Amino acid sequence: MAGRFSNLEFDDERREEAKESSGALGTERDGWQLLEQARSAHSEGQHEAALRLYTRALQEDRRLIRAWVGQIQMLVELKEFHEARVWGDKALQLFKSNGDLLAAKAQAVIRLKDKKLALACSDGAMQSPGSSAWRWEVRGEVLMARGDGHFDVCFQKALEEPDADWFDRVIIARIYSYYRRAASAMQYLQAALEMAPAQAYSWYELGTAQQALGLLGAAQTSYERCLELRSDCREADAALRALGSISFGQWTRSVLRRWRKR
Amino acid sequence: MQCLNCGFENMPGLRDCVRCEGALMLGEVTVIPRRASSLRLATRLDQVFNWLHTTTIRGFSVKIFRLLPQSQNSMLWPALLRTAVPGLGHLHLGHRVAGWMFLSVWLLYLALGMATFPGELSLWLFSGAIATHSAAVVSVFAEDLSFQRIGMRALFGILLFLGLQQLVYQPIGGLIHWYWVPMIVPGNLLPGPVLAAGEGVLYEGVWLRPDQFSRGDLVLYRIPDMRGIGYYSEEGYGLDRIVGVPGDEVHVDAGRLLVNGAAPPEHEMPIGSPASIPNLFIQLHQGQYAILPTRVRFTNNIRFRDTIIKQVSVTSDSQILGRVRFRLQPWSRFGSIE
Repeated sequence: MAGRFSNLEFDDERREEAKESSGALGTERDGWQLLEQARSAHSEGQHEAALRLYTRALQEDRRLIRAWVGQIQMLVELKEFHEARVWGDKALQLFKSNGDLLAAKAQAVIRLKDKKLALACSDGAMQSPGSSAWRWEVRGEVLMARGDGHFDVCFQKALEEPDADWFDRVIIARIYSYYRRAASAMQYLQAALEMAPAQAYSWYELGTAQQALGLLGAAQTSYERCLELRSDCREADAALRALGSISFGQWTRSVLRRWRKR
Repeated sequence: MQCLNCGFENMPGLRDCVRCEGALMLGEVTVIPRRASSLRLATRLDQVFNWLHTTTIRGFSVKIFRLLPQSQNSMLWPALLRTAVPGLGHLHLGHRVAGWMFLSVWLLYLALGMATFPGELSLWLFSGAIATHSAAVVSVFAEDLSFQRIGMRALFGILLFLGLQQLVYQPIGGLIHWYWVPMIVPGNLLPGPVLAAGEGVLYEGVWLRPDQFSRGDLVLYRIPDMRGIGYYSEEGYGLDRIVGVPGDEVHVDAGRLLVNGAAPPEHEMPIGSPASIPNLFIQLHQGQYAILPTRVRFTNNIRFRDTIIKQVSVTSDSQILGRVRFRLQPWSRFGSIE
């Protein structure tokens, strides 16, 4: 199976992760199970592994729209926005006007700063049959990036959806973090941790938000909690080590930011 | 064959749905996404084209002009108006440290600029004040600008700096110039008790300049370039008292100045001694003034010095820039010029 993926254009690091994920994959080849594993990897912040699992799920069953959406989401999380947009276009050729796919493309497009197209995609997603937390989340991001109001209402709507869970709060927090609104991100992460306190990824994201706000002590605690729950979290380990060797510039910025918040 | 997208039952053998045009042959579709790679030329080119697309003049202008109205922060506009004085907007927003910092740095730059005015250093200090002002405005917009790429943010700052300089500070400076014009006394003047080269002075601008001057007025005037057989004199500036007005007869005989046949009072005498002026007789017509260049340093051939001085001594009205009134530099001699 690994040979089939050897032609993919991944870096060495990605190849290592692929080996890890293929090891964890076991013998189960069922598309839905792969989709669940991908979703699980996504919720643990392992975006590279999640992308491979979504791809495998699609190789098993190309009708899994959730896997197509997941692929685009992962490409966006990996900051490959252009590739995400191209992949969104491809998926939309197969599943015309699918709301979740349109929302995923809208997110890719808004990260490419094409606000007009992003709004059009988001409008299409909202007008498509059905509804989901994901569509509202992307709607909120598009409005936030455009500077329009009511994006927080969209996020609240997302959380009111029946399929919303703790991870949707993390997704919203990551959106806030992307647009450097760490204080709002922290609120959603705390809410996510109230619902699922044993999620290492939430602790890691909380630590990142706290670090951005200059709350270095709290960030250290969050990273340590993350490592308690998942000792192999390299990102948290690296962030914790970086906290110990914070540069003068970072320290000055954090102090100035705290003063400005007063 | 049922379409996965719209559920329409299509004829077997079709590749696309006849209703929604969705693909029916999903088994042929590749599911491995194309990845970004630092070595993949096509990806990089796409990124470059995308960047060019978003930073074309249209995209750029849309971004810049949409930047301001997009803000949802109701506090921002009052804060921006208050940023006419850097720091007041921050104080309005409750950012006390940043507000006082901007205000104090801006005032410090202005104070130092005024103190060294009109020297070259003052230009740098005033530029520092404008840069501080720009930084204060950018800082008010910091939250909204954080969505932009760093290049756009830098461009916004530069445009703001140029905009403030050209649309705010330059017009203010131009308005002041209509009343008072600062200048450094040119280096071609000989040192003396009244004025010396390198001193900073203020002379009257076009709104304060009188239509007619009187004897004894200390004026700044332009010396045109002069050409004649065997000599050439470069354009420069002179600074001296008017000794004769239109209709007067000015006579210098053996270093003794006579205006209309009589020696002028002390306050109507030139700054320097008329002894350096060769014998001359001037009959002043309409629009002509007599200003003896007693303090101008001439570097021409000594043979033609007298010829040049005679020509320079008659100055037309249009060559007089204005009356010199105040000395700004050095501080030890600050005050009005008598």
